[in-house]
Amino acid sequence: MRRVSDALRKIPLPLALLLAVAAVMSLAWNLSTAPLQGPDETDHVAYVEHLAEAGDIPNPAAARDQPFAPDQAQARAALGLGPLRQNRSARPDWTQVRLAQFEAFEEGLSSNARSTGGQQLATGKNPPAYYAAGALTWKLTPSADFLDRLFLLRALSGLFFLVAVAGAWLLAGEVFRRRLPQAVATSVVALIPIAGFLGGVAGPDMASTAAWTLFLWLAVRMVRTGPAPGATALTTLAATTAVLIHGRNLAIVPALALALLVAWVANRSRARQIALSGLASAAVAGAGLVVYRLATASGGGGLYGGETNLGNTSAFNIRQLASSIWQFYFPKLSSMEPRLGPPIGFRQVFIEQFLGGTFASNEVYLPYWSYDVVQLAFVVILVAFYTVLVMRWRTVVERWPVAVIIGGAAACLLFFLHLASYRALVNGGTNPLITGRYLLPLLAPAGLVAATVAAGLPRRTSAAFAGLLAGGLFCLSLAAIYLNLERFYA
Amino acid sequence: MRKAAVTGLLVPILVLAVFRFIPYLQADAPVTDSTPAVQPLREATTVDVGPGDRLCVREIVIGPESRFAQFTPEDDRRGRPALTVSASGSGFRSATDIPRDLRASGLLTAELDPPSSEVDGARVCLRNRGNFAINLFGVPPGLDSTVSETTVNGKLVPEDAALTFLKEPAASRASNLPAMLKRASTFAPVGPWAAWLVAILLVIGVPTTLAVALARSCPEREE
Repeated sequence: MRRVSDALRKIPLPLALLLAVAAVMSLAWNLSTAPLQGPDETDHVAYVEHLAEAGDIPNPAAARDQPFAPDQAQARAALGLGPLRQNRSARPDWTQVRLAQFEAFEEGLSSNARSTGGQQLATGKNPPAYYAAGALTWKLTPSADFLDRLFLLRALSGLFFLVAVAGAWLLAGEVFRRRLPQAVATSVVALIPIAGFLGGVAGPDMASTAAWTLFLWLAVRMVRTGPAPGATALTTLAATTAVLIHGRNLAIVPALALALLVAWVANRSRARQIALSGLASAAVAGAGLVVYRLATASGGGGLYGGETNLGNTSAFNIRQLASSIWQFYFPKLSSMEPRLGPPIGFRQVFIEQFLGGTFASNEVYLPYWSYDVVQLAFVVILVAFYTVLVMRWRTVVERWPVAVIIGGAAACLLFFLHLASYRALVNGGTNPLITGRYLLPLLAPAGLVAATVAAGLPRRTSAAFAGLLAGGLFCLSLAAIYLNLERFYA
Repeated sequence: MRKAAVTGLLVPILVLAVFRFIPYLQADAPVTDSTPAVQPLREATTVDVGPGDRLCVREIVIGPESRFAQFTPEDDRRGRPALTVSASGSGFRSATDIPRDLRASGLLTAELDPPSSEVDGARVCLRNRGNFAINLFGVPPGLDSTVSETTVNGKLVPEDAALTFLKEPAASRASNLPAMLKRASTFAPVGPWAAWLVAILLVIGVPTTLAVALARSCPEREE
């Protein structure tokens, strides 16, 4: 107990305060979002319930047509949570009559009834790490009430959110010597509206973000401390955990390879050290693969349900992919064919869905002028970031490993998302499979961009900038939480 | 530096509070009580109520704040026929006559005299007293169906006619905030007091905490 209190006392006050801010944000989103209204929340909860009650992974190819256990199915029907999804004019049924009926229904369920759902879920192909944590939370919930368990499952996302915030603090501490830029980087992660939202609903997004953030911290730290086997094993553990949380996190694999290479080059590692640290990394990654294979042995489908293959490779065209990525960010050049899929790009995904945010099942959004302000702020900060990098190019060159690791990780994530999107569209799909919350692993790097600007400004201006940024993000979050509350409960 | 950080923090909060948040909260908006049958989103259909016909949405809960019943008729160049909207359940009954309206369009809203406590198994009916049909928007059987049932002349139809109960057609958003917080806590294992606590922590606690965090991140003396 004394060691715990000693450890707690060592937490810097700004970090402790920002963790408290993140906890309040997470709780506010938890309460203001009606049950099962987060992105794919119904499917994530069904997976958790199946794993907790039946003890195995749902099989997405199972013949039985029962995606939800009876309690979740009844909640969707009797409490109006099914028709509520994306329908802004609908409300959940909060009457005491329906709630009492639902409780009576739950009490009448047999002991194994809750294990009967979880089949034919789209999330069934997801790896099991997040769902295992969710199943543990499910089992540890004092009551067997579905809504109580869902509340705590959402609180689990809140816990991962706190880990992401702490990870951002640690990462920024490796990059900056001064406390204020460190606080700026961390406050960005704690205050961006979509982060709080996903920290308040059930799903693997915030767990992924926490794993990525810890990976980035450990990778940068590994360069400073040297790529000893222990350091590489820890860094690989973070990356492996991310991969075991969601198939989208396969993008971390090349990022890990890059981080190891940078650490070896920066530390001028000799062959023996490279071999030892490489072995340590391979051992951890191999253990992760074994865990994945063992856990999903009863499931169907390929590795990650097919995430690792390119589909119909005869349709795959590298020039078309490059053109598609260009047109996502920039206007189409005259020599280019129009890109596949719906007309969404940087503004929709980065500005509206990520930095500004869209919430619930994308039917809750801020006033459109807010997104214009966010886009303007983004451009100003990006220009300032570039200016600081140019002005302090010597420092950037000295700290090249940090820049390469973080920039490389961001590039790997973005390329993987664009590749997955292109693959889905070129194989005949209409869903571009790219949305703002997939960018959540970029929260900590986004915080570092803002912190770099803060670090490059004169001291008093830097403080004002930090306050302005935090105040602006807080206002965005407050508005988003209120609009979310109004959408469901007004 | 600390003063600059706190000032920077407060500027957007105060500006937006004065020019956006407070005016938004003071503005009026409909106050929904419940949606026993939802408005169409994914697919729409209509339920036709001919002259003399009676449509009912039954197996619904009507509560003391279900003061207005709202249907969604299809617009008709003839306007709207004369109608009677009634609500009934165990121990209560209420009816409102709506005269023919040549220029009516949009939502059909009828004021009710609701029961003093929640009544299960209640119904709201609409009788067409006119000489031309009124078509009500609703949803076909599927993902958007609710537990309510729609009948026409006593016969069950597969569609759900959209029905919303309002507490008030218009009231300030700020006046509805206590009810919103109470409803938000309904699905959580915490009472309304917890929702209030989180709201206070969010509006007052978070900016205060941010101010202290930023101030403590600045050196005491500028170097």
